[in-house]
Amino acid sequence: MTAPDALVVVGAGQAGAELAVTARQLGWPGPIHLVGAEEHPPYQRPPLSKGLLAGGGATAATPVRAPQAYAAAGVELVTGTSVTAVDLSRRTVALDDGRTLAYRALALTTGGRPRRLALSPGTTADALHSLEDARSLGAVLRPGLRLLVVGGGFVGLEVAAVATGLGAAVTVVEARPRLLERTCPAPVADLLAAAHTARGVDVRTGVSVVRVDRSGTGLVVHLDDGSAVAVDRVLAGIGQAPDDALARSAGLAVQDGVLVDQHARTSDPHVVAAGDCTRQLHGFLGVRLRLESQQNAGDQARIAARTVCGLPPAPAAVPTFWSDQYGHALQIAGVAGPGDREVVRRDPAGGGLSVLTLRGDLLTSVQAVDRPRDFAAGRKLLARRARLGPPEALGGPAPLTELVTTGQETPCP
Amino acid sequence: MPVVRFVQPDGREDAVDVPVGVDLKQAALDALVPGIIGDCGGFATCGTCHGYLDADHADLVPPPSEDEEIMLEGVLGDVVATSRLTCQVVMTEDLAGAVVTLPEVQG
Repeated sequence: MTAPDALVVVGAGQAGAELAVTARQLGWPGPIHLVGAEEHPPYQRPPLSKGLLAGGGATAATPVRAPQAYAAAGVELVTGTSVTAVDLSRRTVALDDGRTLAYRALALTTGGRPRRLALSPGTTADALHSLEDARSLGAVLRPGLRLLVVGGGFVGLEVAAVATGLGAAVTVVEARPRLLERTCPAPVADLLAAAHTARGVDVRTGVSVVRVDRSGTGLVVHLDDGSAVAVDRVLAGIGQAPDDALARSAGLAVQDGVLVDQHARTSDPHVVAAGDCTRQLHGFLGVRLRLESQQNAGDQARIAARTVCGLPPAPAAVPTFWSDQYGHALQIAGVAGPGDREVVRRDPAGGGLSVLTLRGDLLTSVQAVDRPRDFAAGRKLLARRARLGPPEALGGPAPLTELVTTGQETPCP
Repeated sequence: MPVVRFVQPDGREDAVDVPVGVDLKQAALDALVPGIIGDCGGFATCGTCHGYLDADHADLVPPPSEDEEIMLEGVLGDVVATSRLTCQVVMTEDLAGAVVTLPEVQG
């Protein structure tokens, strides 16, 4: 058993690392234990489907912080160890190495689990979630490899772009009518789809995998439109589910994610949660949702650390997201709501575009491809809850900062 | 090893040994300096590692790229002539003794 004034952080990804270190910086007086199932110190996941994948099978992780930073912060980093149970009444967690840790505060930062695609009874397609996944896929990407990517979301499309760049022959299959339907307006998805197609990627939307047969060393993947694709490897990028199993079995309120309020508090007063494992009431957006991003993991972790330390809450940041495909930089700020109106801004000369979403004249999100100025200005205007107008000018060449009608002097929420 | 001092808005300071070749954002994170976030991992696409490089050293590093300048236009903190994204400032011997003051707000 450990000292009862400990902070125990379960999950050593971006959120867990940030929460543990921030709690110390904010003055947490007792021991801090950061427990992670993976063998590695906390590393960044976004590079796994981008530059790191291109580095092949021996590529190194991108650490969140230098490994010695945790010891310097007085954080005991426990890697390769899973938490098997939480006892909310006794305030203890059980580890799979036999240890029991007592806590004064518990933080759950357990992340997500990739959804698995069954290829045949007992076998599933590769997913891309961990450093090992990236090394495994990176080791086989080579000119001529036939790769099927199932899922036209960020991970699938980033993998398709890297694999194509390495000379692989890539097919992307998306069950929805278009790519990126869950996250991006159609003009953004269309631009990126065109970028893939121009480089020879076979993009097929509105079709699903129905059966996979072995054929020599390869696979024949049958689709529900009657066609079949012969490939060497299948990668499933079909999203992730929040890893809320530990919270659920402990008796915390869970609903497709650990339920937390805008201060990262769970249904138990001694437990906070942050990152991909949560379904949060978002302090800036004012709605309950799941966010899967590096930015949210960090921001929510810092909010949770303040809660743990009993400090006044800090405001939530505007959510942001990034993707990178063939050198096209997609930058997103804010989250569009159902029914928000879209305005497209295009370069007459260049290839980029931005999509603004508005509720009335209130800006709710900016999605910019190769238009960093719209993203940079948009995020700032979102933070200030700016209203934009006149409507006929929003799709024109004027900088966003010149289209503000009100809200510019309103402090951040 | 050359030292860079990071100064918080309230005046608290951290003196950090920064290896030549390491960017100031990562050096600050590794040394537990508060007030630098670095959401995007160092690609000048998020604007959450903003800092003010002291005037004596500001001219001793390559000027901001267009991408960095664009992101700086969008940061929430006050922007001045010596504002930089610290992920884009790579340590050199010339930067020994530099002072990076952090803004009131990142993002």
